[in-house]
Amino acid sequence: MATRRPDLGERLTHQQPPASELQLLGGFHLRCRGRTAAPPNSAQRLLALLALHGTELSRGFVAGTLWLDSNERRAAGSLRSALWRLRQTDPELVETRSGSLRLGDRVSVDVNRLVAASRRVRAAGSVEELDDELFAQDLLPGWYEDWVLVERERLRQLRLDALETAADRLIDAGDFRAAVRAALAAVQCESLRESSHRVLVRAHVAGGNYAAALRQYRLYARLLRDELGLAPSHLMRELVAPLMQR
Amino acid sequence: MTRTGPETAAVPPGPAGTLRLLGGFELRVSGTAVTPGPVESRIIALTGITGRPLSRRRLAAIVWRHVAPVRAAGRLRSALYRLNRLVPGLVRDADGAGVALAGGVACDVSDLESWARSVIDGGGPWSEPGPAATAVLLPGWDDPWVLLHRERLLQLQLEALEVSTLRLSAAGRHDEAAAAGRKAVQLRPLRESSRRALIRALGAAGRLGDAAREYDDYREALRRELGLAPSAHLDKVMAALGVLPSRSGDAAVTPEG
Repeated sequence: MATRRPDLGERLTHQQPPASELQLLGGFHLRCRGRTAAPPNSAQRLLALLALHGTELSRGFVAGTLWLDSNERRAAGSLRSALWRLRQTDPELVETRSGSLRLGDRVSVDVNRLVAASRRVRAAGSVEELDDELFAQDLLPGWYEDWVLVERERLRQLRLDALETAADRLIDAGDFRAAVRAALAAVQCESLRESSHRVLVRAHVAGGNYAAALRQYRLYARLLRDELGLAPSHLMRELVAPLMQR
Repeated sequence: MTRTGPETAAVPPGPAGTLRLLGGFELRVSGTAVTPGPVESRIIALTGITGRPLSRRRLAAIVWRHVAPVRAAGRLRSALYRLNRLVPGLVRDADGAGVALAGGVACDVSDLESWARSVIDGGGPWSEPGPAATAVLLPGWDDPWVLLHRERLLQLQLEALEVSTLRLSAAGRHDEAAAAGRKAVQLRPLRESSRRALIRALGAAGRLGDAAREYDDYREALRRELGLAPSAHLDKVMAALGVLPSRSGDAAVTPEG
């Protein structure tokens, strides 16, 4: 599968390898200088928030987001203690400036690689960027804060767009098997999204697998009816109409 | 970079066992068969198939799709409780990390996936595919998520069988190639790419009569079942074998299909 490439930012600003690797897709995993680190919950949340934003954040914003239910003073205290915990884990994880916080430069984040890979697929159709691991996992499953949910949904849409685009390009390039695989990954990610089912049906038809196209269409129509009481759109029906002459 | 899997976190490994989902549900823990209830079986199967942690919310929404989220969450809690009493540690539910199957439980779906992926990525093994290559995921279960995974795995099985057919054929192992192609065709008689792979393997083996018979069978079945004719891809394969004249000027076809 695709090997890891440095983020653009990493390549431009740093020659040295990342000191820490932060994984947020599929769950929180942190490695500092080659060793697994397990900071306490509040410190994990702080690090994840800084990683997902990427830019400098004011202390007030961070405290208000993470400790929604506390008053300002207590939230500021919780933030100080979480920061202290992160520094104990590794002093380079967070950069603090007067009144603001930022993720350390030498922390690599898997979400950034997913975003960059999705962009390259969208912009250049470079389908070799479709790293299975990167594209299959949700952001921080088991975390329910609003700032995580919003980001999880955004990343899911990004993945779906990239997978559908990749499937389209692969059909054009005549690699129908790989197109079916990319489209199936999209369907798996969001089972009722019609654009994903459509590109899958198109890939089957393009590869001459008419029966598979029809079966996929019927499966989609059934799910849609059972789950939402809806029928496939006219775009989908037009796609399979030539296969349903009898 | 080596990705750190979930098992690197400080979580006890849990029980060891096997989970069979292809051809039917069968769970064995430390050598003994275990029979969970229908809901618990679904949770086990789902975590086994996905192979990665699922959020409680997602899991509850998949298993209880017509139940309000709050009630679904409650049902999931009690199902996980029952499950943990049945086989402690089988399904891990670490706070904040999502719900996952214990690392020590081997699931046949992930074995199938790694075999298929290594075949598709070109790494082999180029031996005749085993029974998992044609087994159906959880026959008789008709939950939507099962249907979707069943279809996904079927596509993976078929693709791996087709690639095996072509690779074995290219290596001159004609009998094994034909056997792999035959498996794909039996799995889905109306699938053209499987039929094409088989026909090409037969052609490479010099069995032109058998290749022509496959073509006729397929064309007849496709006409009877769907009222359709074979695609230009297949016509081109037949033309290359010299068995049938090319019927049209369709040029935009890759030989691989």
